[in-house]
Amino acid sequence: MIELRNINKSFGTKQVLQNINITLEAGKCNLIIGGSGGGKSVMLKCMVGLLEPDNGAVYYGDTNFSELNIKQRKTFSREFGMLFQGSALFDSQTVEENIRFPLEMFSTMTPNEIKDRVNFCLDKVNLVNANKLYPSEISGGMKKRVAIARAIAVNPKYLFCDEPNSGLDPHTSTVIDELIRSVTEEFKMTTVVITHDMNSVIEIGDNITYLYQGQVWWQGHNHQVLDTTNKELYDFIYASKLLKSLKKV
Amino acid sequence: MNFSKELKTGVLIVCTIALGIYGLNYLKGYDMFSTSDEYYAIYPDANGLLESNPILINGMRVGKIQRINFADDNSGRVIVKFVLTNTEFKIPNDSKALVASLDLLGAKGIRIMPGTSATYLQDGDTLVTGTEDGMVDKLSKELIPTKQKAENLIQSIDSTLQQLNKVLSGGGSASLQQILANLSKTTSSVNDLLASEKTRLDHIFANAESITLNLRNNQDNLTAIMKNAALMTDSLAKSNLKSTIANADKSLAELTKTLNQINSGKGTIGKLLKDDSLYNHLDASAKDLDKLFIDMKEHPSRYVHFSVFGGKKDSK
Amino acid sequence: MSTLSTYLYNIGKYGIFMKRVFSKPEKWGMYQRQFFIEVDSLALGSLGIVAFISIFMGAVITLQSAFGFESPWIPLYAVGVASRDTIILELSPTIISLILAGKVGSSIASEMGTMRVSEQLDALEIMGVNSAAYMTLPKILACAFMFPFLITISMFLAILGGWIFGVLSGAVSSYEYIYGITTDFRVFNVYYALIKSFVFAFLISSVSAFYGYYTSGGAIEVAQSSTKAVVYTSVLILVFNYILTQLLLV
Repeated sequence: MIELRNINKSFGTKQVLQNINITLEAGKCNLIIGGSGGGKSVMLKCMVGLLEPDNGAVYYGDTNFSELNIKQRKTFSREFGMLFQGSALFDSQTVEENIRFPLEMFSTMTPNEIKDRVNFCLDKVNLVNANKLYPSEISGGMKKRVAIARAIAVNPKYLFCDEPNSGLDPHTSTVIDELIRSVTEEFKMTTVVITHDMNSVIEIGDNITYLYQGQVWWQGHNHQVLDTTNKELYDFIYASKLLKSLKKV
Repeated sequence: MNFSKELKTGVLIVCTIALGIYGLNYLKGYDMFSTSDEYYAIYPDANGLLESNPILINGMRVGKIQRINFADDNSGRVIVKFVLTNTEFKIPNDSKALVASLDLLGAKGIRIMPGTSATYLQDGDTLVTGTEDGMVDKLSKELIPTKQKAENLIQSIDSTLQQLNKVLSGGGSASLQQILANLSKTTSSVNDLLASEKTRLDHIFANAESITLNLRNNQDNLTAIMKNAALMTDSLAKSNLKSTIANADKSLAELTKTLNQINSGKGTIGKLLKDDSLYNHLDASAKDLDKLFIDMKEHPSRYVHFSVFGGKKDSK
Repeated sequence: MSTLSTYLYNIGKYGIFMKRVFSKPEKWGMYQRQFFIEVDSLALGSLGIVAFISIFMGAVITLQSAFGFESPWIPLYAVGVASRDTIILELSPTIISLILAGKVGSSIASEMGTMRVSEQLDALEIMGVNSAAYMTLPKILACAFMFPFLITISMFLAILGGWIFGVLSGAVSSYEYIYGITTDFRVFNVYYALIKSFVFAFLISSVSAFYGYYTSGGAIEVAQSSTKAVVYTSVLILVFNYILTQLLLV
């Protein structure tokens, strides 16, 4: 369980996050949606410690993450897995080395155990015979899957996904969503997904938070979101003609 | 074979260290890959020798000084260790290692004067030492006697000048003035003489001038004369003077021979000169003729008949 | 902010960055592996250009000395002395370091900058890896450890190049050159050069990594970081060259 308490963050005079108070549930996919520039990425970075909130605190269970020093944070963040928007695979390493990297860095596994774990993770994301390829040699969807495999390799408690569907075709996008849902349920992870893809919202949105102008505007489940009466959320969801026409039907 | 990064790095490091050690030693003057012999020389005074100064044998650089230390016995003596990289020349064991100045700037080195012994020094031996006069040393050695001489000279000049001073400042002054007065008089008389005889001198000069003028005017003639003389000598040279002289020589030789024959009384002339029988005959004949003339004088009638009147008409 | 306070701000930021870089590694084995990767790409990868530049610079220095010393008062072996001292004191440690600042510095800065803008550094941070240390420390160690070796090779090749081209062109005889390079040789000069190359290696790797690490934006910013890294590294090399010479030789 992740709790954000009174998080404020501003860059210069521009306040990006205002008084964020949310609770993200364990074992579920927690979606954060909102328009571009709505503060989603900043919130995620504040949660994982890539940015410091101006005030407020982030709680992981009973641990106040914001009060930890750098060293303690480093140790704590071994519980994190993160899927970056651009996958952020290490260019100089092969697919296999990318996944092995966090294991070699922190675990006490033997080389054989590591090898088994790498193959298990690759199997999880349905990637075979790609072990020796370099990131520049594989497609965007494959990169995402490798990134998920790398994120889950260390068996993290918390999985953060920054726009996992961006730049992917609808089918691949669905595959990635399925993957996120399945690993979340299988490994009992607290998953946080930032997205503005409506397929994902309906597909995996166990707990949805709508950020509007740096504030929490709406919270609810995927079966509630389509029937919202909140004007801003309504405009956000039914921005496309396709959904509008579907709504009419 | 695919080399791992670690292996490549290791190879590079080991090679570079080896290269570095070799290069450093090479620059310091040890060449690890060439044969070299070490020798020692002990000097009372290093005389400005430095490490890596050259070793010369008959003007060839054959090695260099490797190290200079004080001797262990605290005597202050200096042990010079040097290596010879050129070992073609074996060093006789009575050779001397002399500290030498190599140039005007004072660069030093060791010059080995080879001895004549038939046994040679071995690697690690110590050489007999000495010091060679460098240019500067030589110069200073030669300068010291010169300097003394110069000092003496300056002293005598000094005393001479003192004497002179005494002469000039003492009683000598008056006589000197007199001498000068006399000299003045003499020059004025000469002046008078020249003034009085001016016209004559002018005459002499004028004559001399006219002579030279004539000579100049007759230059063409003179040239012609010279030319003729040249021609003459030329034709003389060209004429068969040589053969003529040779002929004359021959004739003279013949003449000498003839005269010799004459002298020895051979031939007609020789007999004429040497044999007096002809003369005797002639003398007797002359005496007889004399007697005849006396007789004729006393008795003319015996030989001539005079008839003043009437004689034969056809006798006219 | 005025220029001076910008400089001071950057120096302070650099200091904090260095503190992070020299914090205790998470796992020595991983750093060691990274170290060898950096040695391979930064040092072994520069061997070719270092060798090439050294040989030709040595040759040019020798020919120029021979040209400049055309005087009956200067013995020809002075060419060897001058070439050796120029190469050991300045050419190999400083000029080669400037070349490496261009090659290695831009490579480090652009690699780090690209990792920054493609969130690879963030990925490391999220995993719990000290990204500054993991990406920079092996580079600094690789450079600081290997550059003295590169400079040693450079000195050797430059003196060798001077000998080869000096003799081939007839500017100096082999005997005079060798006599020159072994005359009045001070071993300390080599140590001084190696100390310099060690310091320059540290500057090149750490300053370039600093500019790369604090890139933000996209491709243009990466290019700017790379340029800044080379410019500031070169300037710092020259400044430290003066400081070290003043400290060690004067």
